[in-house]
Amino acid sequence: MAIVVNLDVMLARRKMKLGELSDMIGVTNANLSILKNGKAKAVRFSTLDAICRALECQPGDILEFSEEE
Amino acid sequence: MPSQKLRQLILILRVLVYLVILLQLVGFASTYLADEKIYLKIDGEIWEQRILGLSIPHQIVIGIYMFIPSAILIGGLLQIAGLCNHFAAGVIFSSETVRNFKRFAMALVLLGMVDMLITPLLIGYLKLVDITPAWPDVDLSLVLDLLSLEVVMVGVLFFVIARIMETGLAMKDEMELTV
Repeated sequence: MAIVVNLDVMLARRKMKLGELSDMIGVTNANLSILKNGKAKAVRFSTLDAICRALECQPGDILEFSEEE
Repeated sequence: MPSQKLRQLILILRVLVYLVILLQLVGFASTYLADEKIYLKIDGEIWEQRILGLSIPHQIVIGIYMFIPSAILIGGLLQIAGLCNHFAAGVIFSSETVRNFKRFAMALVLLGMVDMLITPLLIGYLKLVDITPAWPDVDLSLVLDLLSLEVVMVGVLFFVIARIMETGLAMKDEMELTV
């Protein structure tokens, strides 16, 4: 897919672990792993909203369009 | 897990599947045990021949001809039995259930076609090996009787159901991968 998920980059910048984000936003670790590894087929606005609030970032910091992918 | 109603339906379906398979096998065996006859209308007269009155090789060939539709139907019914197992385990949308539906649909289409061809082929065989003295009379009602389009139609309907199941499976996968 041409959409790249930069969740791992954002987590590294915030020095946060996936488990911590999972506890903060109430989304399971397994589901966040699916998102982080680019296996997700869709992302709910509510999930995106929660991630952006927790990481204090914009949706564009997490999702990126890449034609090469 | 499936609901109580679905469980009951699966049980009824499973019993019916095994009952039909048993009846198919008993029906085929009884053709031989009851020493049934082949009837044809030749030159306006009824021609008859006991199957057991024929030589063993001819009996085997006729037996195979007569068993082909039953074998196809039993193959299809085993797919339904497989579906029952999946549904009972709570697996509704999966690649296996889609495959079961497709195979059952294929069996029905094949059964309809074989039903249409088996009698003319058997008549051709009987004439070819000189069991019948002449070609039987062609009767319009007999030809119409041979058309098993309704079976083919149900088969095509099951292909449509298989496609719907495939769409359901894709939707389920997408839903599971929505974060």
